[in-house]
Amino acid sequence: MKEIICITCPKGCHLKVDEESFSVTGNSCPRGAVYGANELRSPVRVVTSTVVVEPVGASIARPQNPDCLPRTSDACPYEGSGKDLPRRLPVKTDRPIPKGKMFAVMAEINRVRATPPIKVGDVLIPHVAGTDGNVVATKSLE
Amino acid sequence: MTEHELVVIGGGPAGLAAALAAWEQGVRDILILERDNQAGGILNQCIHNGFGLHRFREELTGPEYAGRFIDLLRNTDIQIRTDTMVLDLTRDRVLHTVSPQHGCEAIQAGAVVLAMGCRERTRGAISIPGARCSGIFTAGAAQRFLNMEGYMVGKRVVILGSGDIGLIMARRMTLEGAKVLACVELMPYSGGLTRNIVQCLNDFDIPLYLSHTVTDIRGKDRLEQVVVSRVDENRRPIPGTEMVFDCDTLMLSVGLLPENELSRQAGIEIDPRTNGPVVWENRETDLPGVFACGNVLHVHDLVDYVSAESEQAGIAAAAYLHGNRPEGGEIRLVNGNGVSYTVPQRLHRGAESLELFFRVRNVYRDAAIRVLDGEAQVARFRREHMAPGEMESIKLPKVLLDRVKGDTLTVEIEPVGGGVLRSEASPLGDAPNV
Repeated sequence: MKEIICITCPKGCHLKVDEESFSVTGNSCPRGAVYGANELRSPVRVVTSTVVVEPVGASIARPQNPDCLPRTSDACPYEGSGKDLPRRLPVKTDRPIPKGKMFAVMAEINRVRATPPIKVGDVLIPHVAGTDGNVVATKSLE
Repeated sequence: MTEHELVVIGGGPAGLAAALAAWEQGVRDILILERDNQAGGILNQCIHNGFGLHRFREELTGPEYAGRFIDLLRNTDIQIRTDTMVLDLTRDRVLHTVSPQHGCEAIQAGAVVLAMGCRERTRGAISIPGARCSGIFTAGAAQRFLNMEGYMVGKRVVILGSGDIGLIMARRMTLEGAKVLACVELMPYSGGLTRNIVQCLNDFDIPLYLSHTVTDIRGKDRLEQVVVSRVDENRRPIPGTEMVFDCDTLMLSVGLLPENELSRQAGIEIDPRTNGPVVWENRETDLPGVFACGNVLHVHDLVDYVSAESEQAGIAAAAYLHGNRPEGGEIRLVNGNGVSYTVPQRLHRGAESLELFFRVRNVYRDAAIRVLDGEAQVARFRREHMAPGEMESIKLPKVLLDRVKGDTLTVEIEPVGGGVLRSEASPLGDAPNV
């Protein structure tokens, strides 16, 4: 028997789930039984993180001294637009991925760069870490 | 001095929703003033998912939720001026602003919506003793550094307070490679959503110390150690229970305060229970033509509720500008047994309907919300579960409101079955001592 707390609604029922039969007790509604069984059988999570924004063109002024913290206004100047680009693009997996793969997904996210223009939902990493989830942008950058 | 029909102070979720609602009501000269360099407010740094379940029936991240509103705004002529700080608001609705593009400016507004949001309580607000070294952040400041500026603020982290922002940052720092040693909570129960306790702490085996607090901070230039002690039922540290954590970062998630400097300057009445303006059912403050919505009014749990409330304020501001002002005497809302505050605090007799937000004082399983006109019951709503951390709302239609004879409406909680279950407020019990 494993004890978990149901997060389907704010009540937070204390569930007891049998590790072999996946039968659930302590739930006060059917959704709790489904949650409890899934949480033991194959727990999944959506991973959200950020990706470094790489401006178009290579020769971008970056602070020379690595000890010197760049000010926000030093944020990668985006060629042509005259606007400051944000330094990070928020991303997420477009579906929940196995809980055990969270750190593998993070490692892949930390290897990629994003270059504008980007639209919400654009795929940055297909089938991340061998899952059926894709890492997609959650913000548009023009 | 320039003039605008409607000026909205703040371009976060509250300001955007209020401006859009006013636009839909036919107001065509709307100006949003935003302090940051983009619209969206705090949602821009809340990159985690879980927003919009009520409004859009799907789980969005913060930037996605903000993006939906910003896209709607693009199809209107609503102006949004970023990098603009409002310094002052007068009783005649003149705003003084400053920005790099326009310098100092005075703006006369026909109506004003206050949507400034809230800010975090800091170390100073809770008076933690110890060294004044670097490495101490509010959780939201650390969140902005990490998610928007791209800086890791530390490698070994202790979090004080189990509010949702702290819990979210525990997971975020862990995923980015930091070691989160502990989450420390003064109260015997967590202030965060159960979902966040499970997915942000339990998933990563981060211990939660309930009834504990930080009693010393050590470090010369950068934080080196924090001392954590158990507290008694009066929240006083118990000598001899000290634990020392070697860490370089302390994050504070110890509450939010509505940001009402401008409201106070304008002499708007503030409710000491919410720290926000006292408002009528249409979210108008006691200063005619000035409305308030979102976290500046009272701290919300869910952005979905902020959007809904702000639309009411936007609609009411449009009605004010069109000359439709509510009439009818005042009915005051009174906090009865188990209720810590209500928004709104006032109601016009003859109002079309009343959507009431409030918080309860205790954890209840099986209870009823009663609305009383003197001794007479106006309405009763059953709830299976209520907790101080979860804002409640009820709706009263006109037919019920029209029956109210007295000058007050009392909202109270009546335990039905299990009654008060404060001890069960902590979903996990106490973490073991190390």
